[in-house]
Amino acid sequence: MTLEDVKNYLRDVSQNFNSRDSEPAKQCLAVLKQEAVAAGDQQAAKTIWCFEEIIEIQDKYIATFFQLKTEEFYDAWCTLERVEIELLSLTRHFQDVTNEFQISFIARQTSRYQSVFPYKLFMSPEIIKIEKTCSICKKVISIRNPCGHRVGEIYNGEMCSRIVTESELIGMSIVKDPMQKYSVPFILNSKGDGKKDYYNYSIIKYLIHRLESPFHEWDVTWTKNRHPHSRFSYVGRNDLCPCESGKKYKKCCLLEEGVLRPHCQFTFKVKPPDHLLTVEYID
Amino acid sequence: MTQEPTNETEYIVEESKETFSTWIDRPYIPNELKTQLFKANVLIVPREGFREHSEPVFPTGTEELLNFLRDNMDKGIVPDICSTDQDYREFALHDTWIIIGSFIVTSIVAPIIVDLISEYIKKRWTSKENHTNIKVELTVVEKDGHASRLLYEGSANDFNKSVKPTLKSLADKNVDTQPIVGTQPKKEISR
Repeated sequence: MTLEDVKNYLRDVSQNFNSRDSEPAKQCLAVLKQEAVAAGDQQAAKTIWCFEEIIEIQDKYIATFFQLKTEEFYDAWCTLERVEIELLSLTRHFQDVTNEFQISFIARQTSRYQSVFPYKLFMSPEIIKIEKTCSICKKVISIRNPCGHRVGEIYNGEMCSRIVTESELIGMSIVKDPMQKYSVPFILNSKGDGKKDYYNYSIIKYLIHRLESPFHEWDVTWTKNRHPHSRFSYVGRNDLCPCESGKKYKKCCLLEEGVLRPHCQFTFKVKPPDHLLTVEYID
Repeated sequence: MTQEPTNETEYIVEESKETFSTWIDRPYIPNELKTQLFKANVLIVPREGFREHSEPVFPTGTEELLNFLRDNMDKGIVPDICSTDQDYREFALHDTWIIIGSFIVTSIVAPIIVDLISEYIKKRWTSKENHTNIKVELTVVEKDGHASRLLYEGSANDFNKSVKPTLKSLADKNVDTQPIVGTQPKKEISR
């Protein structure tokens, strides 16, 4: 495999996603990077790092799609988070302005997928970093005499980061918009030996059931619609209105043609089969 | 505890008693470091009394920011940090509010620092640029020793255009030490 073969493989992602094996491409890039580093060609090594990242991003984005298909929702969420983090690293060094490798598309869709997950609150650890080392030179970080390696830059085809080697956990917060999204709170199952996933994934199930490819574009809009009163027959006239206005049902939506509830509308670039173009009510 | 970021921008300008000297004379700054710190016209200063932590701490990313400022010394800035290697600690809160840090700067270099902070944010958070919220505290010390504290909490995109007019006012000596821009004081975020 040559570098041009790797590029072609990456360009064809929307065709090859179903039968993808990235190992030969990764091996090819590893050899090319070794040669670039040996020749002292930092620019070439950095370019190869970019292609390695593109493989990772594409692979993880595709993996997310299949995890959603098999209803491994939390795993899919974590994979999407990796995609987002790696996109952030890549876009400092590489702009896929023509969407040659679907990077702009993946960035757009990643954020859309995240928006239809039911996770709204996250645990957020608060730590004091006592000691850090440089991932490139392995030295302990000195604030007064820096090692010279800059976080996020590429050296010998590797991205520089900091490794926290000593830290202290000082607290845990509950946040709506965390820097990293892995820490989704779950409750313990009845045996107390594992998590119980009580989240309602109906919206994302609706979506993924209608997509045949991770590279079929879709978008979502959120509005409010009136849902038929027949769906709320269990609510008494004097109970609180299911629209969550805080008023009594009889003094709120019962006076209208339906109950005002959040409405999620998907737009698909590739039309799903007719029998799947349905409206579903989700509690 | 909960952190409740809002979309509201809060910008406060007030008089300050802090100067380069008051920071450099802190007990945790050893004598051998004081001479070097007095050469700086931009000092990154720590947060003191953070939670139950007795030692001063800096927000995560301070190392990267200081290195970025060091890379831009040709613009006339002399950056330094109020810490020894041994005492340097970073705190990380892991929500999307990015705490850039607290700075003591001379009025001459203050506009340069504001530009550099904006450039740093743009460079580091390229893909999140449009929805990055930041917190920055600048204490601007004039030649006569008068100091003003500018506390900005809001969109990274609006930081430069919010702060620059104040710096111009300070330079023109027309500063009003009352809050000149801002919203109703919001509840302090529990940290």
